[in-house]
Amino acid sequence: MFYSIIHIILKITAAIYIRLQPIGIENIPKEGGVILAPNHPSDLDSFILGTAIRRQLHTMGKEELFRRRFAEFAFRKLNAFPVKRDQIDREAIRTAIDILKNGHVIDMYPEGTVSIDGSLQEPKLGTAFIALQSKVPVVPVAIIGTFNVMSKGQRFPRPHKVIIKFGKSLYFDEYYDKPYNKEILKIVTGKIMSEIKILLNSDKL
Amino acid sequence: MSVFEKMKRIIAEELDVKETEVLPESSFTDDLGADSLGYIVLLQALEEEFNIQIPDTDTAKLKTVGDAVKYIKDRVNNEG
Repeated sequence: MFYSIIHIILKITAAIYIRLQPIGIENIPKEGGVILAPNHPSDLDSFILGTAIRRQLHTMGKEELFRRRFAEFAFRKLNAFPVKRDQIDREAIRTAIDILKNGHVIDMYPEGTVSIDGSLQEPKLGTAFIALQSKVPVVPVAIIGTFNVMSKGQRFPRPHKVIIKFGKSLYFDEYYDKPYNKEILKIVTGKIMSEIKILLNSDKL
Repeated sequence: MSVFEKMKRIIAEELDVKETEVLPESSFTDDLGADSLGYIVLLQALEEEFNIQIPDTDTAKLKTVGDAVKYIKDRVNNEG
């Protein structure tokens, strides 16, 4: 209920303020667990992504955001769960895998953190790891324009057009149930990143 | 099957090493090639096999196979 109300408010705000334009939304499977894997130009990406899609989005948020009681209440109602930064947080990884196995949508940013200049950064392997552990497809996503709305360190959003492109689902079944292998994680990560790049650079609207 | 025997089998399966390479003094990271994510996979498999939860506060103690065998024996004995 809380999620639906906030969703409607943000949808109206986004339509006016950032003229949010989702493209390829039909590429998100209608049901079942799925990871949305976008580039990460802004702290607002998860809010805007959640606004752009019809299914409810679950998201990892840095632990610091959950320290105040009201913020914790609101973020939890918005399907966010805390993750400790600068370390491997097993609890957060377990939570993400459980959410996906229960058939929900999560956004996971392969770059791991917001980009300082808005460009793509070197990826980490966590997104691929969670995709293979939870055995769900990954939808590559290009977020364009949020860097101009609110870049890192900026306090208030500015109006600027935002386009979000959703690519076709990527399936990695061939790598399920294999022994742990960093090379496989690199291959999967590389595939996700190259699809994000293609979406970012394609002119097709 | 002893805890060590079971652990050898799990480590060999999860980290793709030979059982003969798994010795009590083997370090997970230095000898068996587990990076941080590989270590997580291993902990999950151990939790499932021995039906225990290994809290993150305990994982710093589990550096070698021998550490983990002792830890699991203690936990299984205390809880069983």
